[in-house]
Amino acid sequence: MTTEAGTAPETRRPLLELTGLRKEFGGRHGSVAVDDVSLTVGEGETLALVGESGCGKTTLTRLLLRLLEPTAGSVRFDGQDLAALAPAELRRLRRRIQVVLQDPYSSMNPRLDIAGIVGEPMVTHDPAARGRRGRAYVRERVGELLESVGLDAGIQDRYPHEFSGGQRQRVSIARALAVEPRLIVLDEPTSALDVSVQARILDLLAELQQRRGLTYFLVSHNLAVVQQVADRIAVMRQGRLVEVGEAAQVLRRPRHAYTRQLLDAVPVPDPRRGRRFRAAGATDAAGVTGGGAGAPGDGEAGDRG
Amino acid sequence: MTLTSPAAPAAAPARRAARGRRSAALGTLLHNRLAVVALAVLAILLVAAVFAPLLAPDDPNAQDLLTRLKPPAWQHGGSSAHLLGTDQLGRDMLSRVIYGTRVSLLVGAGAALLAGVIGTVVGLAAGYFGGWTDRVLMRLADVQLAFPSILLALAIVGFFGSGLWYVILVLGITGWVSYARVVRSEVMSLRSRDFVTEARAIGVTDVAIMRRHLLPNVMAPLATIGTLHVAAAIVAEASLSYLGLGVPKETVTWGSMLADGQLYLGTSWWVAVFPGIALMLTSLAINITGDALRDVADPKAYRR
Amino acid sequence: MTTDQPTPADRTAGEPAAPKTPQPLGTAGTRRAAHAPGGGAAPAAEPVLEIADLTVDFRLDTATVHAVRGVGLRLAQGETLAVVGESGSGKTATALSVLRLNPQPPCVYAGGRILFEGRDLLTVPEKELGRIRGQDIAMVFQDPMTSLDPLRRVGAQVAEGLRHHQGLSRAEAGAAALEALDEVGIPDPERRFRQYPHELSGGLRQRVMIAAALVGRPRVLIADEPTTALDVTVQRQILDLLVTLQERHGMAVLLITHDLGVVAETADRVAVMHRGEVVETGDVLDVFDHPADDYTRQLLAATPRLELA
Repeated sequence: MTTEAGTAPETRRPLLELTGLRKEFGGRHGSVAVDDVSLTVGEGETLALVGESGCGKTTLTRLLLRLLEPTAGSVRFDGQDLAALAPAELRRLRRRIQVVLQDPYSSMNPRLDIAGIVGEPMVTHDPAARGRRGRAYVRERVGELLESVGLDAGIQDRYPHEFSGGQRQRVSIARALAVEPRLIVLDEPTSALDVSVQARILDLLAELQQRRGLTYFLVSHNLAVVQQVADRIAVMRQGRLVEVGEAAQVLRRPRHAYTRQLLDAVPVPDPRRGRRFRAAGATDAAGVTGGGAGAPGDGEAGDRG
Repeated sequence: MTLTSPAAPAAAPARRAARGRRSAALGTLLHNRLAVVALAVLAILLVAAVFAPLLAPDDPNAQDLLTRLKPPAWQHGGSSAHLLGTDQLGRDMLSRVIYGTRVSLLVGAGAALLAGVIGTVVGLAAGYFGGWTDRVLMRLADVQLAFPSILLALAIVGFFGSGLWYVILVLGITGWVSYARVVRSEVMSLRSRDFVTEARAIGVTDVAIMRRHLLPNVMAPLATIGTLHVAAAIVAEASLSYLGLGVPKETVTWGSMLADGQLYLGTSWWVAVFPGIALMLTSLAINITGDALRDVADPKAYRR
Repeated sequence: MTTDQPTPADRTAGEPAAPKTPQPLGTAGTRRAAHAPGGGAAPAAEPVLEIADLTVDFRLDTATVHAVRGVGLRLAQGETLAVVGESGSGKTATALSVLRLNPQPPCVYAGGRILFEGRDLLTVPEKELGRIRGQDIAMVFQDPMTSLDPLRRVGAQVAEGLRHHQGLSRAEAGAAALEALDEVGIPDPERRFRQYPHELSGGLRQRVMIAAALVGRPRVLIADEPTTALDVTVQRQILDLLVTLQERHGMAVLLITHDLGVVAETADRVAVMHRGEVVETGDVLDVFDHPADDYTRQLLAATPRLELA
């Protein structure tokens, strides 16, 4: 795949390698959620996986986090095949892969305070966080982490519901940083946030990446966000990768028609390029033809279930 | 830090709560006047149970056939020797109600605790692991429900003999299914929440996920069922004792008093009514306390 | 889209955004009027809906939240006015106030007027408001999954308003509903008519919601984040559909959104809300080119945009 797309991250050592991943769900009426996906993420880069709902990006994320078993194919992290690891080894390796999920409201246990939430990876992986001195150690580390994401170290005794969406997402990021991960999976990290907050979270992520040499696997549907942070982009549709390449190339010279369709669909915050003004020209694509106005494309066509 | 909107009333009052979580919890509890009354009733009951021999004016089993079915002191024919009157064997009602507190509280709390523990473990396992674990455990629950509890009681009494602990055992074993069902359905919806997914992704063990993430979030419905179950178990003990499958005759329980009293309801109402009132007060107090504790356990409750 | 857009140098601010080619649709005239210089603050046409000094409070146990503070908006016949703001800005509370749909309590309409056809919607009796809802003023909500009844067939839900408001027979209402489903571009409407909401994709469900809103030929459509829950390609189609239907039927649209991209794509005029107040109103071109308010500038700066050239 890398050679075909001409995007081999030659200068980067591969950190995460997905090879021929496939996942089928259900028995007789089963469906293929991920179909023959191969992808390499180099150390220190940001790879963005882009696709619309139902394209399989969530399943792919869960496969690489080993929350789901693939039907076929392999996931290698730092050269190790996750499937070959014993449960205890896998648990140790999970320390190096952390995750920030989309919804800062449901990604936190409402009954845990901030110290409990941010400290959880430490308690899980770091022997120093357990035992008699553990509590003091965790609190000190949590304080540092909170400060590193721009929060006050004194909020440790408070609960998630007391914070705004942006603050919660910072807490999630602090938690992901708690055990010196190498790869962070960011699943739509800003799509539940207001734009002004979103911009700041993206800045924070970029800064942390630079400072700590992190690798990001970013899942997003928002191409405008992807453009700001991604080194490479993988476009997914109906379980398959339709295009993988350097970000600038994918955005400016998309090879696949679906990529172009995605790009064209992004609302442009410029009224002169908006539809009303374009529509005034002869290029009115929505076409009031026959009975139907703007018949649905395959993005929304068809039945559910 | 980030933009905060005027529509989100947060921040300021929360800081106060953060200072002392425990004192804030206590404050919330004491703020609820009804809960304070309920707690006081429970305290009185507990004292009555522990110090029954000191508090009761009479031996609860002392019969005096000459003064049988005497009405309470304030009624015509009553005397100050028996404040709440006497039963069909001339035993002092007040003493019997006080002594009855012992067994009734023990049976209620014990059965609810046993059923709660079994049900929670089963529900957590079924809901969290799903698949065949879930299927096996839920079939087991169906069998349990379909199996007549009287038959189970008979079997246990047949095997072990009767007594207080076997009553608790029977009531615990027959009561766990509703806990398991509720915990299971809560866990199934919690399992797909992001915070559980995240915990799994970072390698938190299953046991730790259940303890840290699932159990605290199912405590509220557990408390609700538990409080209802305490009252139900106290009454159920009566039916078992009535059938001779419960505690020995000479052990005083509200249940057996109720069973005795129903024969005299038309003529001597007090024999059934006083243990009934005691039972009602107990379950009411437990229910209110349970509700209040549930509110206290919710971190969001501190937001004033 | 990437090739033929005019560069900013082509036009100066405030200049009419007159198209170079003839307009395909008749209602375009009103739209152009709204774009005329100086038309930003007050459209020349008589407003169909006028919100004046609206104040909405939420009286919670412990505090009163002033969700909307003295908001004034005018919506002219045939135009699209976008109300844009971040969460908590009061934009949804404003939209829901038009039909008094904020939950009461805790909501209290503390002041102001909402004038529609000479009546103040904040004070008309509930019964009269019931006639206006869905008939003269219709709403489309963000989440098409929760705004459709999962247990009733799609067709019946679209026809419901007609039977309720216009007293049509079941057959007449059904025929009109079928036509509406066809008009919003639902393929094979006869089949969809008999289906249940869960059998439809998100985009189709939102089309059903639009059909249900438009079947009674409302004069005003209030769309509260109508595409936020949808994928981008579907969002694009739904936005196109809304614009097309508006042009065909000449209704006024009050569009609530957080996305300046959506505003730019669809609106004639825009009102920016922040902390319960309208901080800026004007023609889209004016506001995007020369934002007068600091907050508007911040919002524009924070909006991510795809730079493809």
